[in-house]
Amino acid sequence: MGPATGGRSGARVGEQASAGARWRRPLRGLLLAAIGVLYLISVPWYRDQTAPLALSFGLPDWVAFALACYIAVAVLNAVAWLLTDVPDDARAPDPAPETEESGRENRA
Amino acid sequence: MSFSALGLVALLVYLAAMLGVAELAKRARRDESPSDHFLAGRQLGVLVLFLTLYATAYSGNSLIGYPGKAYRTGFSFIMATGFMMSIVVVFHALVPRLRPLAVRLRFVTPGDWVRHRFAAEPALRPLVLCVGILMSIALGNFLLAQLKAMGEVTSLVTGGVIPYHWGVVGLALLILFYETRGGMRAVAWTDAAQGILMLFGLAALLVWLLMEAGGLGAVTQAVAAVRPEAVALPDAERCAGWFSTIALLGLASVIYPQAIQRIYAARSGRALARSFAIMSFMPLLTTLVVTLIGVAAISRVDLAPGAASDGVMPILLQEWASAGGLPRFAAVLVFLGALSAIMSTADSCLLSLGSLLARDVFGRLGSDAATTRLGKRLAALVLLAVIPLALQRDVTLWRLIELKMELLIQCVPAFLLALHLRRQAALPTLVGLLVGTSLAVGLTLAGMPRIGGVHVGLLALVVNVMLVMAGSLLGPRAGQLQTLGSHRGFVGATDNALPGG
Repeated sequence: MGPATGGRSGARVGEQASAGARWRRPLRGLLLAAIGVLYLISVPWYRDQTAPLALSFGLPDWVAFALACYIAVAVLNAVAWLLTDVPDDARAPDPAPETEESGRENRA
Repeated sequence: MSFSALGLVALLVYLAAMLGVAELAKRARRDESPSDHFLAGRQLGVLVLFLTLYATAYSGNSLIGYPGKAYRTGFSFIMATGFMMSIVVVFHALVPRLRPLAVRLRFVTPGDWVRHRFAAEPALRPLVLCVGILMSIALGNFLLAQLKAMGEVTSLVTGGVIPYHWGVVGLALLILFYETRGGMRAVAWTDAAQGILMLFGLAALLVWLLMEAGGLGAVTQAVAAVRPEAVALPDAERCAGWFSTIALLGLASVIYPQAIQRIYAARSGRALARSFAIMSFMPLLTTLVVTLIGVAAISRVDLAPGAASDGVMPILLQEWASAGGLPRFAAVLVFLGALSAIMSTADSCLLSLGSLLARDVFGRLGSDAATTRLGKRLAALVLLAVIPLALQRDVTLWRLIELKMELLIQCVPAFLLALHLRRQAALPTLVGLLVGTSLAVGLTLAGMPRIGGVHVGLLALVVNVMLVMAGSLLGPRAGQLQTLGSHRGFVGATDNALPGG
């Protein structure tokens, strides 16, 4: 493979990575929102208190449903983590103001 | 061989193995710097990182306290699976922003972030001090709970051959020995071994329990017959408590100093993300298991109403061990798994306490061996102070952990909010922290640990955050107005315009 081809290939990889980053961020946000909804419905605040005990998979049905929500949370959260970019370099935004002291003190 | 003899032999083998691992960790040491001692030279890979996160997150409370709580509460303690999972979810708000800064600026303690974030502000020093003190109290509290649990488990596994008091003192000194010699490396490696032991122990216990009871359906029916309220839908107040506990533990646990230090200690961001991906499933393999064990105990164990619920798990294990043969061996394995969980949490607490006190409370920011030595000495002093308290056996583990969380959660604005709210200033953060802490402690001491099912610590956090937001967004921030220029509001909205990162 010639250098020119390699360069094009490298550029393509870069473009693909950039495109990947573009869809990964909203997808991660979507997963986290879904996790929020799952937490909201896992607690049986909306159920009829007077309903008789019903079993599902050997557990009270409200427990089985809460458990199903938490299993879904585990899967979605794991996927969200795999989509999360945790940079090791200085690319990430720094919420602190840039001052002389901020870096020097911690490098001491 | 009797249960106590088998337990004693297993305990001695286990402790010898821990000392061996610590010795290997000491030999792997590169230098005497705080970074090498307290963060293992920032070289923890996926597997060790995951296992040390796991062993640290699941403490004596998870294995001894939670089954007791599930025994008292019933099936609604399924909430524990949710709140342990919420910790790994909330880390999304912390890790991607904190980790790169920690690498670039060589953070060692949580206070290093606060120092960086609020640099040059007049309220910086008192803020770092208050955060350091609050975290130290919470860690001391957590350490106390672990020491108590160590004494209980040692006494049980050896059938009283090693009494509670000797268990507390002996194991505390052993932890101090290996933590002082091998630092974070020793802690992480022993945590890895302890995490594996814990997983095997829990799996063995669940299989035994379900086989004994004849499956989940039989367990539920038996529980419904003995205590119908344990299978009933929780009322509105309990549902509020369910939400409150998820929020309390999810928010407070991510700012455990030992958890934050593991974010700093990871070899790479990728290793960290993968470790958290695996951690997502651990509540299903650990918390759910101990919850089912506690619930299943309702129809098997008749504990007096006033008796400490922490006794449920040991009673079950002793019952299992009495069958002899393989069950006895497996029961010892579970006891060792519980002891592993306890010791791995205690050693992490102790290590964090040393660095936290040296850097954040006493302000020793050096990267030399003297700072490391000071951290080791302070950790030893704290341990020696906590041991006499641990010898008192009258407070249950669950109450201890709740008190700790209500204090720790008041530090949330200094971390989770400060990572995202660019306008946040040190003074309102300090005021919010002091007001929130006073409110949480005051209401708890006044006998109101919850209001309408919601933890007072969480309510105090709401007041805390409101004060921080009002003070930061309404008041001018000295020394930062010029630097910030027009970049106001939440960080997420101005990511691309932020300075060099």
